[in-house]
Amino acid sequence: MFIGTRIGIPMMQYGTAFGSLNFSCFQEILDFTATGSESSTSVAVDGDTDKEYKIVVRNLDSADAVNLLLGGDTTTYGYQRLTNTAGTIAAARDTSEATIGVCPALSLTEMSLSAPSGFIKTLFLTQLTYTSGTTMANFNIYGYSYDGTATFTSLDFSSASGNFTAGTRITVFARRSQ
Amino acid sequence: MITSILGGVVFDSGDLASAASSISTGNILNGDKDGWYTIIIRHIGGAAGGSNCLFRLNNDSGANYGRKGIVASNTSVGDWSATGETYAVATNAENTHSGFYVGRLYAKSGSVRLINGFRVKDINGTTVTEIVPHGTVWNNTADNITNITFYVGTANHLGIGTRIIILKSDNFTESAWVRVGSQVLGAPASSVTFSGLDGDRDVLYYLSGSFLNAYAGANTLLLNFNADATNYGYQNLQALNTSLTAGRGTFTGVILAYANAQNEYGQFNQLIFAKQGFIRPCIGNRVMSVSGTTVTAIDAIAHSWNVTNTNLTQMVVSGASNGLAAGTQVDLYALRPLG
Repeated sequence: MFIGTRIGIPMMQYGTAFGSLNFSCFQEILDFTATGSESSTSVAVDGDTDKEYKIVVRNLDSADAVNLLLGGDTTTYGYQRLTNTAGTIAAARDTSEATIGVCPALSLTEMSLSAPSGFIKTLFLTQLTYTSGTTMANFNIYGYSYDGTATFTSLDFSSASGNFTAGTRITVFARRSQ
Repeated sequence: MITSILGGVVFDSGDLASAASSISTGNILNGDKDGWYTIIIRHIGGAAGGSNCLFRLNNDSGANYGRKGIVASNTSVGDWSATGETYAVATNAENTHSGFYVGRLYAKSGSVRLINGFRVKDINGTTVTEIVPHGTVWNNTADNITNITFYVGTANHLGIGTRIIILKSDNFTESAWVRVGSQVLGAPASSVTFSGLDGDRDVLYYLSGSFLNAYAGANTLLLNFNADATNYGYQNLQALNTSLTAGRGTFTGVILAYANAQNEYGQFNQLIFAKQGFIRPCIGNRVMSVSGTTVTAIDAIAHSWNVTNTNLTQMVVSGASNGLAAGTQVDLYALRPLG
């Protein structure tokens, strides 16, 4: 046994959930469905306490993406991505993004945001983009970095231009216990 | 891709006791109220000449499905796309081999239905033939989803041991996932251990974590089951700057995470089918060697644990000596299907 090895004692937590995923592992903290009159939505959080978020975005806008900022910060994001764009597979990296491009137009995105105290924040996300009929336009995988070790206190979603299209849905779950 | 493990069980086939050509949920689903579905398939090939496991929403057999993804097979990477198909493609296994699939279906009507999927094709021993992260569309905006039918093209190719579990994210009253262990390190450590597990009862585990490399050099984190360090195989797909690579091989554990230098960060997830009787497949993803706003690499990866006849009772995450810095966090969740 190495010095410093920690032994985990399984904690059997049986929760009874009523409604949307309010159970012993993750708590729904935002379930937003746009009416078409909103250009942004936010949820207050404590990243140090929650440590992890699961986020799903279904964007029905035909032109504009949904973006995400952590604590309103517009300066310190980077990514590595792997993309299939209309059949062309490619990889790329960027180290100076002003936002997290969460969900392109007509897409579904799932992501896992890791936010432990004192750590850089990282995200892993996948995006599916639909064209029309039975044609999928793109499939993308991203890893993002937010170069801030301090606690962030909000997750801020916005339309890249104008308002969200009605029916666009953003759901956020935080790692919390009942 | 495995980014979350949310939901309560709405359908569980149990391990098939006899081979079948199709499995239907029956009309138990309510897509407009259930949020989204997570479909998990552990496919055991049941017939010679068999291959794919497919599924249809509301048993729609029209040419209403399309897909796009990235396929990695050994060192080859390519496009995996189709339009006008009469089914959604899940997994693939030859006779007596295994396949694994996870798909997240956004089920609400009013727009086309999209499925975020991860397909692992044909696992035999420690050989993982192919992985395909991908998206699927069902070009139907109007109909509420009430059932899903899974089927194969060769009779009885859903072999003994095949299991299909469907979770829903809303409209349920009993939780399925429980957090069975959580480690947040207060000081540097070389490993994190979860003991007292019962893989045969829990069926599925989800491991999630982030780490800071405290080691003065490269640090590969491995996940080992029951202290076994010999029976693992993998297939991965990786992007590093503008470079795309894929690879297949064997290793001394599940390759969980990686940092190239001290003070770099990593994030990882793994979904593990834990029940014995057949090889144990795992699928996961990694964000690697993060420093500032530089994400050095990302990858999708599937593993095989080629031990079939032992209950999974322990998991150990380990790396370089005292390489897990204070603040490193590893969570373990178990599914615990009801009944």
